[in-house]
Amino acid sequence: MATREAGKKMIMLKSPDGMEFEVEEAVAMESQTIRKMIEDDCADTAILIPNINSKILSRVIEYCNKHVPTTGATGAAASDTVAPAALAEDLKIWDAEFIKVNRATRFNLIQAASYLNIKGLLDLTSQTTIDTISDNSLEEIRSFLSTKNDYLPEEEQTIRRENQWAFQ
Amino acid sequence: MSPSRPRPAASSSGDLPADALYEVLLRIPAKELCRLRAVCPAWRALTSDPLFAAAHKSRHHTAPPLLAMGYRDDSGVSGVAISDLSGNVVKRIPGNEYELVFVNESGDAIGRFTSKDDSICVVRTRLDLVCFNRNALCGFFWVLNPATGATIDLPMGFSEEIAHELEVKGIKECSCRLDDRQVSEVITFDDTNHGCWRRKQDPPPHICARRQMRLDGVIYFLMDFSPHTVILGF
Repeated sequence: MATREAGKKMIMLKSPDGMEFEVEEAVAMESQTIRKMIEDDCADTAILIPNINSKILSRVIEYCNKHVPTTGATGAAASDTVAPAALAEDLKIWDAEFIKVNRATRFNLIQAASYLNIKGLLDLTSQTTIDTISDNSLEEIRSFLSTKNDYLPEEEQTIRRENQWAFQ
Repeated sequence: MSPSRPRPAASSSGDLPADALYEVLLRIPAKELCRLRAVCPAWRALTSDPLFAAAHKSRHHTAPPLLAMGYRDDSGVSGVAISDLSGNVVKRIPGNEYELVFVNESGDAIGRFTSKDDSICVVRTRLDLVCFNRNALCGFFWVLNPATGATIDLPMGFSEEIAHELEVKGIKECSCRLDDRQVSEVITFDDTNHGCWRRKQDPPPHICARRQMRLDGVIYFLMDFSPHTVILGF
């Protein structure tokens, strides 16, 4: 349901478990997926966000609230008093705190950021996993992600040999 | 999520949801992805998918393309020039100079041939590397990293499998053909630039590797036996 409140357009987001979140349109449009829905006029009523439960969706909205560009009526005061560098530093510290979540939540956040197409959140949430994958052996990666190794031993040897240069 | 996005098999993606795995692998550099192909078949299938490769390329290759070509300047120095698409040379990497002295039976020099009489020819460019050879020294190939200027000599000779086969048949290694077949081999290098050839499945006979074109990810080879020229798709 799109409503007007204090001059700001609001958007209703619904999670599959029945929770509703009313957010400013500008905040919701941090998601390129939602932005496209709004621009294509598909967002007159509440937007159902499939596959993202209320716990994860509330975290995503929290992120978007923090990262929405501070321009216009509310942002003017903030950007007048705080230097851009300090603002960026503040965001960085906030991001570092935000991502202190358990592994399952982090994986769900990556998936949510992927569906909602929120670049900053995707970069932030996937970085820890990228670091883990880059820094560990194949056996450690499999164990970390509970990935089943379906290769026959000789198949794995062939693949390793073909990509030997990448193991150096 | 794009509906055309390739997805790893759900059974093999482990704890990481398929879309999340896609996003994570998309952010990993190409060399590292090659190592990760050995994690499981699903990862290999995903990273080998043309759609994934295109998405990965557009994310990791934002710079405009450059061209590599052989050059020879007025003083006879030849090398590889890197230019942008407008033809502005952005870098020149001179090749090593060499001199060949021809001697007769009594050891007297009867002729000389130097790199100043030769020119460099770019054979292939791939993965930001340039493979080149020299017109006068055909059969020798080098791989140049234009960013560092480092050059690797591709080793002569064959893989152990083919060397053994040649030995059994009493054929000298300098012959490029094995009976009437063409053979196919690949090489990988380690950090110390040490590499050796490995046997791959032979191509069909009479393929002229120089005459090829790529179209939509399919390589077409011109088969060069006369009187007909046939295009064969793989």
